[in-house]
Amino acid sequence: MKRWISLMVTMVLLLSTLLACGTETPTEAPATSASGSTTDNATQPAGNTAGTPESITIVSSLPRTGSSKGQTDTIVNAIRMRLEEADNTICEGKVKVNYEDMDDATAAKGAWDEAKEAENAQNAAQDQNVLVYIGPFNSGAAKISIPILNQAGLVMISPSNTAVGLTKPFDPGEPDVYYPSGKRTYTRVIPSDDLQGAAGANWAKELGVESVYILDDNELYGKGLSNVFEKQAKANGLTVLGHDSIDPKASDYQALMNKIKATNPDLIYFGGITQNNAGQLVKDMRSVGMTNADVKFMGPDGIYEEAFIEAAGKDAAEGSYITFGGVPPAKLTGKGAEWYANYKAKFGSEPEAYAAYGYEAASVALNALNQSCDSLTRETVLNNVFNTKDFEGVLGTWSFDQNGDTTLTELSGQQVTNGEFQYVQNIK
Amino acid sequence: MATRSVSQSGDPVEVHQRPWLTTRRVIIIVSTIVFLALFGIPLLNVGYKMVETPSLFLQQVVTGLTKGTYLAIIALGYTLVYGIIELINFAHGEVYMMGAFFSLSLIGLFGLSGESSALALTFGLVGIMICTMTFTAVLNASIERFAYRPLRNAPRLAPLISAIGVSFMLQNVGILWGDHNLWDNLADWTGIDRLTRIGDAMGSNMVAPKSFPSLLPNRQVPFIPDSWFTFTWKSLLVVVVSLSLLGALYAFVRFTKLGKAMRATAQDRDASRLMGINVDLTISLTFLIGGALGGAAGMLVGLYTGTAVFNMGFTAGLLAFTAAVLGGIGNILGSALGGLLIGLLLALSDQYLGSRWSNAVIFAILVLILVFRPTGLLGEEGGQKA
Amino acid sequence: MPKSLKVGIWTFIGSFLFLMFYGFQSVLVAAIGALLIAIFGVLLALPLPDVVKSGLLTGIIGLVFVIAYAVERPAIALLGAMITGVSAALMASYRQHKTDLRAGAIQGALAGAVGGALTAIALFLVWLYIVPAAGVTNIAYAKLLSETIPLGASLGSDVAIIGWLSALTLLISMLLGALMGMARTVEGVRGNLLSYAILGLVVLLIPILDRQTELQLLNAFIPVFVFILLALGLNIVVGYAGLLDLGYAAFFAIGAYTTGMLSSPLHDTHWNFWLVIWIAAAVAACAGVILGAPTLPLRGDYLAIVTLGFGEIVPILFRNLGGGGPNGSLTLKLFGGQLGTADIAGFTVMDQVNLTGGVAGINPIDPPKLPGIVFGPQNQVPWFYLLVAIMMLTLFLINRLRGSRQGRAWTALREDELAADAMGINTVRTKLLAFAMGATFSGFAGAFYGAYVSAIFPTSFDFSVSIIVLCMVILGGLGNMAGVIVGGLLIMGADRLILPQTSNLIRKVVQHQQNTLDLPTYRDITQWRLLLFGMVLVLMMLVRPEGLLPNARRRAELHPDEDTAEQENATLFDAERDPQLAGH
Repeated sequence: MKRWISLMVTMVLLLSTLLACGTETPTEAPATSASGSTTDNATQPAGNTAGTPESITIVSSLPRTGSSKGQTDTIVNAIRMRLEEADNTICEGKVKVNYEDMDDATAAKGAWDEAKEAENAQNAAQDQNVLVYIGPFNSGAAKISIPILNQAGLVMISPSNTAVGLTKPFDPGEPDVYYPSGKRTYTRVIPSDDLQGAAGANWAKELGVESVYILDDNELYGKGLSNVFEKQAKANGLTVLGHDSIDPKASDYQALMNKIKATNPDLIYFGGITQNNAGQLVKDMRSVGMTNADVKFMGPDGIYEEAFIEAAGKDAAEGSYITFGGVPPAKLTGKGAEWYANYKAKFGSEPEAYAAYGYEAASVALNALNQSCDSLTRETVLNNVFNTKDFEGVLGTWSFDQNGDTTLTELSGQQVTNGEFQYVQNIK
Repeated sequence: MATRSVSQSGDPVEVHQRPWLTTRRVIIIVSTIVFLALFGIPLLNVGYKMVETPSLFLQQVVTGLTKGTYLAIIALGYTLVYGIIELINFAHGEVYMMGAFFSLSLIGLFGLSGESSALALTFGLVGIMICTMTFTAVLNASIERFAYRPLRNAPRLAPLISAIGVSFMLQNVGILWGDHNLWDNLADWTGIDRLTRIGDAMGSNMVAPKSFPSLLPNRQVPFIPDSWFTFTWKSLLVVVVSLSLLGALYAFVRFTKLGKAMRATAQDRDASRLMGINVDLTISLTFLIGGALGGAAGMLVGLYTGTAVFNMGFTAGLLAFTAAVLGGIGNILGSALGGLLIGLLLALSDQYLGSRWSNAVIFAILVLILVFRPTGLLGEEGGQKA
Repeated sequence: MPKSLKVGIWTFIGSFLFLMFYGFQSVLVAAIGALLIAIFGVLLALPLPDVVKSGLLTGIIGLVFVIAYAVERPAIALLGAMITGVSAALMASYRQHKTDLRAGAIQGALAGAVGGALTAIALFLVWLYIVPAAGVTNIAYAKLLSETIPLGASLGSDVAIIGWLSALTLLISMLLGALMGMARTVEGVRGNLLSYAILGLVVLLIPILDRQTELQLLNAFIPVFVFILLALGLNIVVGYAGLLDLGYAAFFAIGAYTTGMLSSPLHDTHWNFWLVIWIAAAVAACAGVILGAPTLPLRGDYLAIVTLGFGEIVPILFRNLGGGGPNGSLTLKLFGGQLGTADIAGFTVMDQVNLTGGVAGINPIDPPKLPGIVFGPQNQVPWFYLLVAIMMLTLFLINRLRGSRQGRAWTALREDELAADAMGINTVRTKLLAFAMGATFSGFAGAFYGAYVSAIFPTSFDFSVSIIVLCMVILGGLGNMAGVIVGGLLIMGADRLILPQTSNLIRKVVQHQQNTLDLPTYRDITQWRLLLFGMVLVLMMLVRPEGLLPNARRRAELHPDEDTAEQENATLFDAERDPQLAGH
């Protein structure tokens, strides 16, 4: 019997040595291995001529399963649309662009998952073909992937992160804690909460609102926005009657709306997204008898989508005010107008906020890639993304500042009229 | 434990009196003190606020109870199934969701809208409700047939996992159901153009909440003055339909032969089989009834709140299941009571504590009630079940 | 009708409908696909020898792994072979226990060979059909092979490498199977330790394999292992003590938040991870006792619902105790003299103190520090070994606990609480200790997880986490640690590795075939993930209701013959007591 055991053990040892020494690279101490393998991977893909690879990859990391799917579908469609318009190539057709649509949600959880986002970021960082990382969708996820990708020098373009602290000082230590390499690698095409929340409050004052009841969906985006809104509303001299966080999964909000009705507000502001029951909120607001004439409803770009009107029903959504971090699609000129027409033709509906942001992120990426044709490396692409100046996109003409934020401070306000979003005015 | 024994002389003597201060009592007293210290003043405040504006309080009670009635109907589905095979049927919430989707599809298919004539609406809705209930009943019974029945003699927790799996699957079906492309393509393949109407009812985004047309009148009922509280026809209808379903179910289980078979099977499967009851059939019947109730609830909630969304079953299911346990699981009247109580608590907590605490409040009260009444409000005491 | 035929027909109908619906509009294609799947179903249902069946069942893991990953990372076959070999031997020995060392080795090797063969077949399938279908050219794939397979470069042609790889796959699978088979023949604690040593060997080899063959799977494996750690902890509560806990994520959250609050900029406390992890475990254990106390009088599912309640309340607390109005102000309004008029004082206090970071979570959390080793997001290996060390400690502790007086008390409690009480077991203490021990290990898991992802959010700990961990425990085999580990690998592997990767692959294939990015949404396979995941759960339960590797006692319970006498007695007793039924 002893012989059997020793035979087996010898075999296993042999096998593991084989595995360990099989490839040419000498065995290193495990601790240093990851950095080692990163450089191993740096070999260019097959058949390249010096400096320009045959193909490069753009990845996006968005929650593709679960409740945020609606919005991320829109973003991914817009990215694909932009890439197809460029025939999936850059540098005058010489380099092929692959697009990988990563999911940072898990099926079991039905929402984004921090470990999955970290995994996506690490995979992207290790694959040297990846030159642009579009995403993530949630600001919380960004806090995880920014440090990882920052060390890899891979540029990120987010279509939807609005948390202020990602790029500007907010909480103690922010934003520097996210950039261990000391160099900024993160950009976003969407204005941060401090702009949009304040613009909403200013608009409310212009509309003649005197008292406001604030709601949020108890998530990072909604809560951040509504806090800024509250602050600015108080500064503007509006009475803030209350600020509640809703349970985004509740089946109805009749009781909450009864409560709000009793406080008699002029406006209800909801910081949140469609998927967190914005439609139901409006529906219940109307059904307890707060008519559009008495009480206005205002929300951010998180509900600037067809799905909001559909979820609320055309009648209830009528008259809702929506802020949006860019020029409304219908008012665009040049490239933007073209996109507007294409989008309408392709999807049969008005372009939505996330479509615009997703499309813009892909456009900026392609633009920077096209400028980097001489040397397609992460560093040049990163620099070229940050050097985006006076970019004529679908959100208007704008640049990235040194923080990676969009310089677009002109936001627009829309209202739902006859069941459709109608541009009303620019707001600040 | 005996506290008395008989001494040798024959006189009853106190021997070892158990100390009054048992561990359990200490825990209860300490936690009561902590609770009062933390929440005593806020609770006083809440009480004060209730008295301050009684009309608002009344309004919230009515709103909460209305919500409670539909929660109760969902809770019945849990309680029936639990009562008969001791399974927490996690898939029931999803059956309820399927009911909402199915009825929304039929409403879209038949083109019912707020403008339809009252007669068309009445008959349409009744017809759709019957169809929906049939659909979910068959669905629920087939789930039982394929996912639970093969596991009947398996360890107790095996069907639970199976139920969780089914619930994931149905959620995914809900997602796909909401894709208008699917219906458009189905219409193409089958040549039935009407199917595109279902797609239209689903809207442009497959996972986004779907909107029901407002079919029930949202007007104050005539016999309650506006000044008391708002109570619309819509709410009235929800309450009436829910209560009559509840009544019908109670009567069925209590007074019919099949109901008796159900109760017997619930009590002891083997004995009932010996008595000539077809146990498999009875269990199927239970699932049919549970499914029908779930479907009815789905449609009612859809009409009442106006929304169907693929994950609606999960949250409603959690609340309804809690309601069923609160009332004493397995007990029909208990789950009705639990549902009403939870609806009421939710509304009051929304009003007086802030809605972000509501779920915490519900579960905290659930824990409290179960600590003092370990088998729920109307649950039967005693009897350890294996 | 024989069972196998029935299974075959049902799987055929099911998969045919699925494939048709998914959009293979050609009936023929769908029928062929369904037939293949059905053949597999029949094979599994046939009364084959235990060895073959175990090999087939576990070979599916290797097969699926290979199909999902081999297009991009062909070396996955080696990893698949390792997992398949070990688990095939484990399963075979559970089905038919051998006492002879040599018989055990042969049994394990055979089971491993069947599993390994399946994995190797999958490799050929991928090479022949899937690689071209996904639009990867032969040249590119040959290059990939020669770069990533050990000794691949010296072999040259892709045929040779594939042959070599499949031979290696088979060999590894057989070897590990044989080793495991031998270990299983040793009785008692020593045998257990041997099995774990072999599992440990496989686990320790993973980083080397991962690095040498560029699998890049470590970062996907770490969360899987964290969940396995959780499942091991829950196994104490549910598997050993028989207390159904539906809110286990609460303790995970408590562990993670303790770490977050003690070593992050949030309160500016940067305690050392090596200290904090113990504090986290201790805090979680205390929470286990505190939350366990109210459940003492409860039985069965009432207990489940109370734990579920705690599982809901704890994340809500963490979410809402983030304080901070719009200015992020932290003013303490202690009852503030507003009694009876304005706001509710107690809740205002809670609203104002930022204890937990609120919805924004805690970020960043300090990584552990060790001289000479960098724990960074780019470097997975130290994390992996740290986690393995924690798992080894856990396995060791649980193994000791289980055999101890306390462990036997848990078993007694699970079997019959009344009898246990009568035998002088302090049920209160036993129950509370079960909760506390279970919570301790999830405290470890939480502490590691917080430090690893360097950030935690209240959304990370909701009901779905509790449910998934519970599924892992039950599916693997209640009360059996090896089973729980296998169950965890399966479920988390399906959720985090296989399903996402398969959907990527299918998307790639479909795009290549139809040459468009524009599919109707319902045909995008990511939309089907939840359905597939649910199906995996249901099917696994139907195939092995007692779990993949049930523990011995539970297996005995399952034989209905031994149990009926007892049940009938209870029946009679109940009937007598219940007047309603008695009068019937």
